[in-house]
Amino acid sequence: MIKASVGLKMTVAMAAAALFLTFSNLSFSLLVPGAVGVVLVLFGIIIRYRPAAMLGLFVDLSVAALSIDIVTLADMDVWQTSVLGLLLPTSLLAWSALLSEDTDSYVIRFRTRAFATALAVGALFAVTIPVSAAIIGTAVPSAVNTISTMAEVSILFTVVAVTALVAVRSGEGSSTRS
Amino acid sequence: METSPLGKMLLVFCAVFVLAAYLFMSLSWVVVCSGLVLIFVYSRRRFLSEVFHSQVKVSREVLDELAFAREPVAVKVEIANLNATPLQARFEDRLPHGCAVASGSNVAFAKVPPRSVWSFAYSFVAERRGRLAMDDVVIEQSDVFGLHTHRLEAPAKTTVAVHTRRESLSTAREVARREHFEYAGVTRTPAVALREFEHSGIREYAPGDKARDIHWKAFTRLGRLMTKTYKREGTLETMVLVDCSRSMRLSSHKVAKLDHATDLAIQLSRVLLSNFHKTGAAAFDETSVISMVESSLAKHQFERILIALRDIPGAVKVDDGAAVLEPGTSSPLLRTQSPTAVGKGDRGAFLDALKGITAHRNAGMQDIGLEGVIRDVITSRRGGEMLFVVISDLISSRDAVVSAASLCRRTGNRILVIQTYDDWYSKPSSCLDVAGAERLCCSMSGAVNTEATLRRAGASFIRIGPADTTARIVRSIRRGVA
Repeated sequence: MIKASVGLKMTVAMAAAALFLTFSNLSFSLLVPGAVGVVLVLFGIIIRYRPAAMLGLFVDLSVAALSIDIVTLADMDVWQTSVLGLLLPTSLLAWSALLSEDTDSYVIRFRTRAFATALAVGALFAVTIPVSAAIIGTAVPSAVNTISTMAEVSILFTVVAVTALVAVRSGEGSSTRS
Repeated sequence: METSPLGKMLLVFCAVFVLAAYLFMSLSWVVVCSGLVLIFVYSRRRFLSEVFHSQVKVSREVLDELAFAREPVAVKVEIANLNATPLQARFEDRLPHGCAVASGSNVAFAKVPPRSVWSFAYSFVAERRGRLAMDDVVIEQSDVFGLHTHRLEAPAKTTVAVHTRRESLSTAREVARREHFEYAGVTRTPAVALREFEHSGIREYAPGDKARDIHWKAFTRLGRLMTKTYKREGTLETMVLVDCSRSMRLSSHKVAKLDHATDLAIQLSRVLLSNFHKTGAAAFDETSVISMVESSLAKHQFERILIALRDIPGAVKVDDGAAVLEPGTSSPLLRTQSPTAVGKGDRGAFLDALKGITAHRNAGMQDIGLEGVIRDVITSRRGGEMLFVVISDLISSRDAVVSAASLCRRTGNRILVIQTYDDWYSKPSSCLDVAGAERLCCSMSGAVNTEATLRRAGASFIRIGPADTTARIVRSIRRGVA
């Protein structure tokens, strides 16, 4: 049983920031707001003030999205960068920033349905574009090289929206017990 | 389950990121968005599981044994978290209508540790007398991420019987000390030791008479010894009956008839008990006896009466002029044809239902309500003379009171009807027009007719308004005004 202590949350936030830094191509003009964002997240965790952490989170996410330019996810190198440099750090940073007001009561449990669902959803988000590309390549081999960035954005956005809706709505009826 | 403002903000940012992806033609914005959605889904599933497995037990305790109107009533709410995870929530103990928080707060934010009990206390002030039903405790649970909230109403029904104002009881004590409600005549009831004898006259001295009974002033005047004679002062067993019918419950101005009648019943009971009359009390409406205490001179009889009168329902505030009842009519009819015009919500339906019950009642249900009480009391007394003090506005229960008066006359008992006159409890209109004057005249005429009917039936009668105090009423009765 691992408790999400302040130290652990700060470690996770810094690890996420390090992952961002590793996979991004940061200029100085983006490094400064990125650093300010990380400091805000850490500050929010230390003083247990969620608004500060959330502000830092959104600054960091914007910086990360601007610094890592992804035009396609069909390429394995870019896919690895997007998963390890964006998806994973975003989730970790959001987790630590949102937990900033919690007073050591949060217990990390991996063998739960919620964690399994999150893992499944994350995996689905990660493999959506490669799988789509594979399907399109199988069906129309000539079209696989012509999938535009906008098409990939649309596919990923559709999958994200539909998955989120399904994941949120399923199990809604079971929440009425008290 | 609802998404909190923070959760909504997160979703808005996701939408903005998707928009940015289209604007900048970059997939990284959507990937960032998917990371946020991932956390959102995780937090929701986790919170769903927590809510599903949460076991909360709520109990409420009213700490004051006797609650009085316009005085703080202390309440303690205990929340037991039976689950293995902490419960972070906002707890709100909803107050009944017409109540306000006096000290502390009925809303609390807390994190209840797993398998532990947490409590908070506050006090509230009830504006009016009556039975207050305190509803469920609202628990607004929020998840640790702050993205979702869940509203739960934990059952914790509590009924608080709020008594009339405490000043009414102190007034009763004062009045009982000053005023005497005497009954001239000998009854079969043995008099109480301290007030056993009343001077009735003098007679010739006879050997054996006690020296303290010799009338020395008469000796100087007549030149021979005279002895004072006494007769036993009677006590009269009394039942104070409060009418709680629908017309009594309606209140359109400052003082509700029912509240005044309750105060009057309390104070009259106190006066009667302090004068060693066996006293009981009962509250009745059109169909039933709400509460009843048999007449007695026992040690805690006044407390018993207080508890019984605490069950009298509270008055219903109606809009000015919305509900006008016709006094002196055989069946209580609303002047306004539509029952919904009486007030808001269920009040119209409530009055309509009671109207229906009253209509049925006239078709032969004679042994319920007031008559039922009087018949029961007379039957249990088996012949002893009794006084029934009925406090009523003679609108909804007019027929019942007239029948009760006839019953009392047939059985050799006395009845005193104290009418809380409806017009005197209504809000006076700023300018009296012809229609208003006619209405007042008609209602007074009806009231006079009712008074005449009751007097013919052998009842004593007194008409009171909100300014009439118990002391004044007792003095009026003693002077024979009634």
